[in-house]
Amino acid sequence: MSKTHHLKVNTRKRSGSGALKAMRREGFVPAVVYGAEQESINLKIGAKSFNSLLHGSASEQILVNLEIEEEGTTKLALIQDVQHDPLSGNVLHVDFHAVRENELIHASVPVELIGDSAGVKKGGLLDQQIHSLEIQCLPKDLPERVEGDISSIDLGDAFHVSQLTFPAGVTATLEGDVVVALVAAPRVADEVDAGAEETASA
Amino acid sequence: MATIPRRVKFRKSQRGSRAGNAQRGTDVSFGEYGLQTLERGWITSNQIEACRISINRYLKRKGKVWIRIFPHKPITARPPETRMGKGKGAPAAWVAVVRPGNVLFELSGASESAAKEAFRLAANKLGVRCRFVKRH
Repeated sequence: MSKTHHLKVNTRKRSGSGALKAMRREGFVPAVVYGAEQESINLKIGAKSFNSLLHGSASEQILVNLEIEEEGTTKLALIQDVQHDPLSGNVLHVDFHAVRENELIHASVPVELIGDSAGVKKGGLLDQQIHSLEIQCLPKDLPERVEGDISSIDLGDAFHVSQLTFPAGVTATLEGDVVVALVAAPRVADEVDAGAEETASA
Repeated sequence: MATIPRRVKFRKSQRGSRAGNAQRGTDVSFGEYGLQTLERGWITSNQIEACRISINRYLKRKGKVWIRIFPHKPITARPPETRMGKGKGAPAAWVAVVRPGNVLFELSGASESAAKEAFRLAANKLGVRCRFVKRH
């Protein structure tokens, strides 16, 4: 179960790409909070505090208590989306989704496969097809990650959503028979060499 | 065998613009590790094939490789020792246009050190600076 983090945020009046670039240079990350029964509010967060929050968590979908300093209110919100710069990795913008404690939420959490698969020990190739899984739960039950023990998966076998270990109160939105990972038989070594020879002769 | 388009609407294209950074194809989406370009340029179908071969040769039977770029663009060249004029040259190569941030190759099923070495060998085949990236 992930704990709820506290984050101090300020409202912002400035918008538009030029103003937001200046804001990023000043050490802030522009953000927005929205929800079904509220007007969306433009926010700014200290980049350092937000980065430390992200680095401390396996998932980017974290539950936070937003303390809006100007309004003196707190809002429970889920980090819905984080935009990164593809080259520097810096956070460009954050979307917060305001949620209520007693309402089910949908979130995407990373899937972590633990254990050494029996098939991989025999020389098979583990092919993980789903790296993050959409789940449904109450905000208080939101896990940081979903784990699956693949140690019993043999060569040619698949590991399904139904075999993942979900904490109490958490369900997957995908069907149970969807393949998360499979252990494929190794490719023939000659195949690689044949491809190389073809190219050399062309 | 190098990958080229099966059928195109126009045989020759203009050079086009390579300005700006990549807006799409910047994340590791399929595998665990990726090779990301830090420069803009044209990557030919032969270079892509050379990278694929070097990755597969290094990894042998381990690992699955994804090629995230495709050479859609025809490049023309004039024959040597010809005078100017007489129209645009004949198609000579197919290239993929890459901008800083594009993920070129992805890999899964190999250890991180093996993936780094495989991508280092592949990056040597390219005319753009690249870096090793991991899935977040």
